[in-house]
Parts: sequence; structure tokens; C-alpha cells
Amino acid sequence: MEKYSLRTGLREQTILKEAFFTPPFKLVEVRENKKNPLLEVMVMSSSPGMLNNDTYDISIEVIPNSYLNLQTQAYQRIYVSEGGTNQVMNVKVGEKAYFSHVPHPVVPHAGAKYYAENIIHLTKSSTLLWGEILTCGRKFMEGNEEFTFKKHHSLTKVYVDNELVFKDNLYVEPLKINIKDLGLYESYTHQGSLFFLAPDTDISERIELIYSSLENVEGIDFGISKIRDNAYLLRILGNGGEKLFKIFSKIRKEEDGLINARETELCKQN
Amino acid sequence: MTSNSPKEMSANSLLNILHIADPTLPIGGFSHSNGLETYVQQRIVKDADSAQLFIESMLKNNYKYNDSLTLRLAHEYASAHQMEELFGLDNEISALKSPREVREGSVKLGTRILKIYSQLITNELVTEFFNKVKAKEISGHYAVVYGLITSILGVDLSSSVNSFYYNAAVSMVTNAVKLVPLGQIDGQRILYGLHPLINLLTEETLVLDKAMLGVCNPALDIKCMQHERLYSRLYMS
Repeated sequence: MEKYSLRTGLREQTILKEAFFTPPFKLVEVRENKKNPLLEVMVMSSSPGMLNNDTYDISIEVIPNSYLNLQTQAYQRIYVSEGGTNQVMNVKVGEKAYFSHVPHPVVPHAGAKYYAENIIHLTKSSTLLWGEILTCGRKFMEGNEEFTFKKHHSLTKVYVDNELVFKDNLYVEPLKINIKDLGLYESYTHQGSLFFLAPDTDISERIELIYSSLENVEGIDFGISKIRDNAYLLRILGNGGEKLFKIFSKIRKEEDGLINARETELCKQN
Repeated sequence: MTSNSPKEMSANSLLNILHIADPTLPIGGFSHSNGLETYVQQRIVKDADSAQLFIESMLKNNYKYNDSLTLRLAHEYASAHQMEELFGLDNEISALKSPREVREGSVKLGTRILKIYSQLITNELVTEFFNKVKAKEISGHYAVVYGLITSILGVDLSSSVNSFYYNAAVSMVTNAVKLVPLGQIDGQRILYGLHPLINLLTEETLVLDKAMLGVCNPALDIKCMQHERLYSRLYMS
């Protein structure tokens, strides 16, 4: 089993209090502006992807009043393996804490089997931005591997004070379904979901901003809807991982920026 | 509600199925298109062939993993008097239905059918469920209530699931006839042709792994979300 876990700490800004990792992982602080309150950590991996029945065990704790953005370094490739690959990610975001995570797209190679479970526990005052992008496999390589993976199952559950508020069950078994069916992928090959929840926020304003920024983007189909008064879900279909990743990353950087700006403003006032 | 001979029981059960699966049950089923209106406005569903493909895909990719599996679990929980599991299922459905109008539509139909049956039959499970809805501890989703009521009425699981698929198919065909529009006989031809698929899906739903509950149909979710912004709309979803 391959592991990494981290826990934030607090001084004048959020710090990386505890970081534990086993090969192939490495956790590195990548905060661009050293004065920023938001801690930015990158997960680096010396492995080309998930292989040999890998089981990734990930655990993140964002303590109360701290802010964390967790980044990935590259696309996550899933290789063919006998027993399939698994990932379990447990996230705990404390009171008035912030966590954003928009990992690179997942690329399941021909024959790949993957199961992931993401369990996220929030409090009523936590903020979460969570993204997930799945590609069809190595589409542009010789001998097009589009939808030649065996099975991809990714389950995400978000709880607020132990109440389930959002569940996403992404399950694709290309051999057993017609991917082009109405309602599934239709004419697209890539899909992404972005979930955001913030306390005491009227989410409509963000929904309108995102809608108008994507309205005229070509080559995608998207929808955004209110999950609760303070939460939205954005779903996108497209034909390339980079485009979806850029769209999600832009939203992520804006939310990260708001956290940095808000905290700097608070410091000035004090 | 009491019947003694098996013969009376099965006759009762058939009428019970026809009653709850009746598309004219006054719960407002026809004011929800669940995405079809967007597909028609975008000219993706535009004739009998594309309407049929849409309905077939909805049944096998969406209903099977979502409302039909929900109904099966609800029927099983209600039959075993596992009310906590039933309440948990209802909350899980709220968390799974991400397009707002679809979530709200499911609750509208569910609470209306609950109101009707709570006045037709006296049953403590229905009362307990209804009280939870009134207390806003659960929402009361259509498929959950359908499972609960059919279980109480003594409708066997297989017939309950079968009738639910049929009800979904009738609703979609009726909406397609109005929206596309299609001729009445086109609609009936599609519906009649769906019988084998509905029977096959019923069998598959009965043995489906619970972990498949709520499998996402990304394009459908997107069209349902886009429905919120359609300029002119006849339907609530």
C-alpha cells in the first residue's frame, strides 16, 4: 500500500505541520508568495502512474481556521493490472477551514481497472472546492485507446456535520455500455465535475459568473446547478483533458485568491 | 385492505399496481420532462427514431441505476420494516440528484403520492414516513415513496419494479408526443416496442449491486441543468 497523509498547522499563516509519505510519493510545499496565508502543497510521484495492483491510501486534515490547496504534478495514469488499482482518500476540513483540490485528469489506459473512494467531512463553516476529470484514455496515440479501459468507478461523498450533502457515483464500464448513448457521453470523450460549498454564501452569484464565463466556450457542453443554497455542482463534457483542467484550475485559482485576499484584509484590520 | 383467499389477494394486487402506476394519478407527473425538453429544443430529439433512442437510453442508463434501483431498495427496506435504512436512502437520493429541478421534481411527485395514499390507507409505516417528511428530516422522493407504498399494498417486488419502469416509459412517451411532436400512433408504437426492454431491465434491477446506486449520466445531468435556463419552457424540469 502506498500512502501519503498531511495535517495543516497554524502560525501567522497555514503551515505544513505533519507530512508523511511512502514511495512513490513526496509532498512539497509550493506556496508561490511566501506571505500568503493559503498553504499550497504538491503531491509528487516518482511512478509513471498506478500499476501492479497499487492501493493508494491518502489522508488529509485541514485543521480549524487553516487553508490548504493540494495540487498534483501531472495526469494520473492508470495502467492495466491483474487485480485493479484502488485509491481511498479521506479528507477532514475543520471549522472555518478551506480546502481546494482540482487534480490533473485521470487517464485510464487500455485494460485498466480502477476504484476510488473519496470521503470528505466538513463542518457547517468549512469551505470546499473539489474537482474530478476523467479522460477516455490515450486518445491521440497510435492505435487510439479511446475507451479501452475495463472499468472506472469513482465514488465521492461529502458530509457536513456527518450529514451526506453530495454524492457522485462515476461508473464507466465501456464494454458493457454504449458510451455514445443519449445522456451518457453523447459526442464527447472527457467529463469533469466540480463541486463547491461555502458557508453563509449565496451561491447564485458564483453560478452566474461561471455560467457567463463558459457560455461561449466552444467544444464543450456544460451545466451548473444549485445543490443547496450554499453549494453548486458544475458538470462539463469535452474532448480534451487540458481544456477541462484549465477551466477548473481557473475557478480554483479564483477561490484560492479570495482566501488569500480575505485573510490579508483581516490582518490589515487587526 | 384485508383479503383472505390468494385469488382475491392477487386480484387486489393487480388493481393496486394499476392504480399507483396510472399516469393520470393526480401528482403532476406530466409537468416534468426530466431533460427531454432541453433535448427537443436543441433538436437532438426531433422525430420518432430519436425519441425512441432517448427513451431507451433513459430506461437502461438512467432509471436502472437511479430511480428503479432506489424503488427496489425502498420496497425491500419497507418490507423488512427497516425504517432507518429507508430514511437514509431518501437522504442519499437528495445527495445524488444534482440537477436542482430533477431533485425538486422527484420530491414534488413523492410528497403528492404520499399525501394521496396517506388518505387512502391507514398504515403506521406510511404515517411514520410522512411525519419525517413534515419534520423536514427527509425529503420524500418519488421512487422511495413508490417502493414504500407498493410494499405496503402487498405488490411483489418484481411487479413493483416492472410497473415503475412502465410508468416512466408512459410519461416519457407522452411528453415526447407533445414536445417533439409525434403522432399518437408513433408514441404507442414506441411504448409497445419497449415491453421486452422493460422486462429485461426489471430482471436486471432485481439483482443489481447496491454500489451502483446513483451512477451518473453526465450528458443527461447537463441537459437537466441547462433546462433551468431555457428561454421558453413548458415543463418544470
